[in-house]
Amino acid sequence: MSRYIMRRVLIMIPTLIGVSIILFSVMMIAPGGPEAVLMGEDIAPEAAARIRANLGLDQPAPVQYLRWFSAMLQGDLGNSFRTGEPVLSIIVDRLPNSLTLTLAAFAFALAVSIPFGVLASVKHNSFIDKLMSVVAFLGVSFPSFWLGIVFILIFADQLGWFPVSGMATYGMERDILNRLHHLVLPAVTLGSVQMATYMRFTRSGMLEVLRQDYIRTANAKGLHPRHVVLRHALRNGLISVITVIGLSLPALIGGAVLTETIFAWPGVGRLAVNAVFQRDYPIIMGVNMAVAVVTVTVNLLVDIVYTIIDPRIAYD
Amino acid sequence: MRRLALLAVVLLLVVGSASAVQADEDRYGGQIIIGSIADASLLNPIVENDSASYDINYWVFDSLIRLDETLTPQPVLAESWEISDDATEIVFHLKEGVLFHDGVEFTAADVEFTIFSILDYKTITTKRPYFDSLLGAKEYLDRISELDSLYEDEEISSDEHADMAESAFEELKAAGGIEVVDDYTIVFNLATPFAPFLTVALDLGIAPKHLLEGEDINATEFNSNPIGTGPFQFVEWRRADRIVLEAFDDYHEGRPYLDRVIYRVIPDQTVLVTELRSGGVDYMPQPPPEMIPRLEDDPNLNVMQIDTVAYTYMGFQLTNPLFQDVKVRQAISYAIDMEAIVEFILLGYGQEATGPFPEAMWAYNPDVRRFSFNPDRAIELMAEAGWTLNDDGKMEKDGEEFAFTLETNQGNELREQMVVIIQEQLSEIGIDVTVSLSEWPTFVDRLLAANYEAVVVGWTGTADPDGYGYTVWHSSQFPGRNTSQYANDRVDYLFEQARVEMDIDKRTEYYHEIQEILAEEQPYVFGYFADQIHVAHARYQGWVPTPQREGIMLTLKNVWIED
Amino acid sequence: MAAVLRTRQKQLASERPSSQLNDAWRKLKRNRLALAGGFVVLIIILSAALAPWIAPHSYRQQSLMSRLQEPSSDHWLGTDGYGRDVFSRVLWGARVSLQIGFGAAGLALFIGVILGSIAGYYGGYIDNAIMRFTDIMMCIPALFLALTVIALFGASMINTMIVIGVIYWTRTCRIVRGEFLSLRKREFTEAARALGMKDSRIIFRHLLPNALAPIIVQATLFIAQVILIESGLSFLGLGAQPPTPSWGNMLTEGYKFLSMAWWIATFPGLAIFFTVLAFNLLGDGLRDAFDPKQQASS
Repeated sequence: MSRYIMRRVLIMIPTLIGVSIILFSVMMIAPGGPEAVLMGEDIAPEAAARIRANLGLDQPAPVQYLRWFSAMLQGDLGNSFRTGEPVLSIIVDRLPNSLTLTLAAFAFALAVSIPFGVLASVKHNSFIDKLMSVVAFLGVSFPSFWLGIVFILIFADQLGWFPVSGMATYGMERDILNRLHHLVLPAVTLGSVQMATYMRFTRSGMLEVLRQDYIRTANAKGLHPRHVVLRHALRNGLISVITVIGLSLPALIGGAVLTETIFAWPGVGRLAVNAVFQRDYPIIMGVNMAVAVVTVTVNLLVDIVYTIIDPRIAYD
Repeated sequence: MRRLALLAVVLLLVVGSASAVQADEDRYGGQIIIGSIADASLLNPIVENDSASYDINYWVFDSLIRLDETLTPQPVLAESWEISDDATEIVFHLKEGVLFHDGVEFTAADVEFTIFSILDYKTITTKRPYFDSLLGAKEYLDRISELDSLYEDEEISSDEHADMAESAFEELKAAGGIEVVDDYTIVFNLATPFAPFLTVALDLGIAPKHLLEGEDINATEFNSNPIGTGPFQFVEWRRADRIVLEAFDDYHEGRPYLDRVIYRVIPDQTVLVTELRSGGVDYMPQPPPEMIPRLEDDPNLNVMQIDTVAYTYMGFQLTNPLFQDVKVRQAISYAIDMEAIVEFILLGYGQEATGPFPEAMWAYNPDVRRFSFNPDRAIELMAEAGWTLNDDGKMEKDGEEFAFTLETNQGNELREQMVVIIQEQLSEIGIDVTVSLSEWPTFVDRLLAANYEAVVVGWTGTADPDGYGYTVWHSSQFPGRNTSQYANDRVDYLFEQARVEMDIDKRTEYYHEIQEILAEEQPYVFGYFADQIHVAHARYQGWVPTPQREGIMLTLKNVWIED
Repeated sequence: MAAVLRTRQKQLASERPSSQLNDAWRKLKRNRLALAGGFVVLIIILSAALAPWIAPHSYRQQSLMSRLQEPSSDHWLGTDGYGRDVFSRVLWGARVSLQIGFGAAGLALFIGVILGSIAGYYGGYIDNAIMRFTDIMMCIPALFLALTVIALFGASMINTMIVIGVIYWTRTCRIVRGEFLSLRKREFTEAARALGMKDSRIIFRHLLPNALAPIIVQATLFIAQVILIESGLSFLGLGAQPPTPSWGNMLTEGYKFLSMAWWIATFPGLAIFFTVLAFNLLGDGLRDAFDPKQQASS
């Protein structure tokens, strides 16, 4: 097992390098550059050259990449072009906010989709099954920002049940209830997008398991159906859901860009959007790398969990 | 005219007189949450260049003078000043005992440092033109552009450039434009009389020399951790979330009433307005016009409508052959229905612009050529310029169709709406407009580099017409604000005269003629002056509306909460 | 020899998926939700195609005098902030949104199928290389990458379409590869190879048709996803540019008027909702229909 994990960890390295090369290339071939944004009214060509040189952008692209890369190995993601702040500390400030939102969204999606998915599979082809799949598709059929604003107008503005936006009331950042209160609407908004996917996988995973011999045997032995489903089928039926979790993570974090904008949530999504608009290359690189690291780590964890839940899988 | 004179509006809008019963000492305490759609970027008055940064810097940094609601200079860090008869020497006596937020005393050296930092070519700033009348400044700036072209032609290396520029900077400092007589006396010597120097140049936050000397002013840590002498001191900045300021107890005019100012960034305007209505935000500048009636209906909110000195325009890149013929520009002006835009997009919260000056300004000339909506006249004028409608209904000349890209910045709803309307209205006379929206930083860059065909954007004026005028229209101001690259010898001459002339009647004459020429030549389609609308919760009292940009925010130090 | 070859080819032909398609169609016919989805999809495609003829007004003709009008007999879905007819714009928007949807899905499919087939068919280090590349792409949040590229290169309908297509091919690639991995071990592939058939012929004539089912399902679901992605990009100002009416930018524009003119955003919002729902139901139905393990339902 530990050898398997070692191997998986080693594979992460070339993956992350690949991510960084792709991103770097996109920025290098894009027309225009950050000096344009930075120069303000200093539009003399000489000033442009001077600023490019200051940012190290006058070097050939491979040299720039290697510089960035070797600095990164020492934990230095560079400084923001615009404000001069170290990128690492900017990301460390923000990433937890995004992860909180993503995890909450994820928890919401699972909490809704697993019971419903199991129910749908048990009542296969019944009215409930149909209803469940339509309901699941409702969430995934709205543009998430639209869903967000509708939630705000209904639950925050009209009913006043939740705060409109932000992460916490000023001065109450340490109050866990206040933070949870702020978390509900954005998490539900973001989570709705994944709900249908998880439910579909739960349902089909369960269906497959329920058809298998050992379940039939258990049923034949006269065990209570609830007992059969919960004790025997669920564990195996959920394996396919766990796989999707890893795959859906980047989509969740990507979707957070919109949710964060609507709910004024200070996460890495908005940071990335602003950085893109301002051509703040070090921040763009940093945010994407951070998300990639989170993604590969989660995928690794998923695989490990996978092997624990399903002993049939060998660590080849 | 619906419009009242500035003074009348100010009198009408001074709020809170009824609550004079609340004793002064009871006014202290509480906080205000201000909502903004954009985050600040550089909290340093030397390099600030976006409106969110301006807002914060107003509160953290004091200037020598500030313009009051009648646009008259009032002392802040200055105690008094004297102007010589020929208006080339201005002596400032500074307040004693003013402290920066770190406890160090403010002196004349800080003023000198701030202004020289702005003049320094290495600094990325929009404020250089305000100070180019100081002794030696013009020579310095000329020398820099000379060095730049030498460098461009590869006649000097970048090291040589830096060395020569550095010695030019030393010469500038020695030229006597700024004389620090003692800690509390500073003298400005101007090469030529510059009438608006006081109002344009000195309404500027003063940065602390002791913290910034030797730093790279464009990227110093100070820019995200500012220290000034203002009524509120910086506490924390969580980017894209909020900036927190607290009352400065040792403020030289006395501590402000509010304990705390929280500047919240809420990127979506609809959400921001919802926050305002539900109490998550106490104050918001410039809500979209469509939302104003609804806010006015809310008894908890106080909607303040204030005159403005800012106008929105459509500017042409005059070096582009398409726009070189004045008839084409006039035709475009005729084809755009600005009256309808003011009525239906601004919902009447504003007025059409006939030139760069607002109606309430002394320099305003009401008798200039106007271009009321008249598409037929537009087509005639296009024909006179050689453009005729082809079989596809497009304007064509020598086999080429008239088409251009119209740019504006994203996120400004009024401007976004305006470009779409212009696009449609010009298509009615056969002109093909492609709309391009970009984020503010990208857009500003394209604008200032004159890298566009046409733009919709705005200028925020100053109390003196020179601020609207010279830096935008004088042919020497490109690179700079004259991004349309307008050049007219007569206009140059008139602006030069108007800025050295002290007699207000003569200045009025000069500015009147300038407006006539600009109206005739239409280097811009002058759009509209949109009123400033500020919305605050009714419990906040003491706002003093001023027609200057975000002027009302400057009065935050006088705002208190009514019980 | 020739005779042997003919028999062989007949055998190969019998492995063709025509019976599978018939089967699926029979199952699909009995799935009412999927049929409803398919029906809505058809209507939307028709109205997009016929928009120039059936739209009562121009999609860009403004009339500031009649802005923000409620739905009426003249303007069935009201007018927007520029006085344009919302109904006509929703119809034209269908054109734009579907073009982006089909275009991006086509492109993603094209890339995904090619890479997936190559990886699945050849296996070995080629497979390894392609799959590592796919892993890399899947680590970058696609929406981030899309908005980065569009913001850097400029927003337009075409760019949006291309960028989405170029970024979102990974899932198709994995699906196709998976199918190929199992198919290439099957007898008919071995036979075809033994007969000296060219690789490209085996891939395109024999393997791909057998992998068609999951590709069709994936494409259907993906079109729905593209419409949502486009609306998200539009919300950030990076979708189709005005006056081109995509549902995404209509929704974004109209949503600012939500409190005073609900109809401007609501109708494009509903158009997105129903279209996405329809494609999803259809895709889900197709998935069930193609699934040999699933019994014909109802």
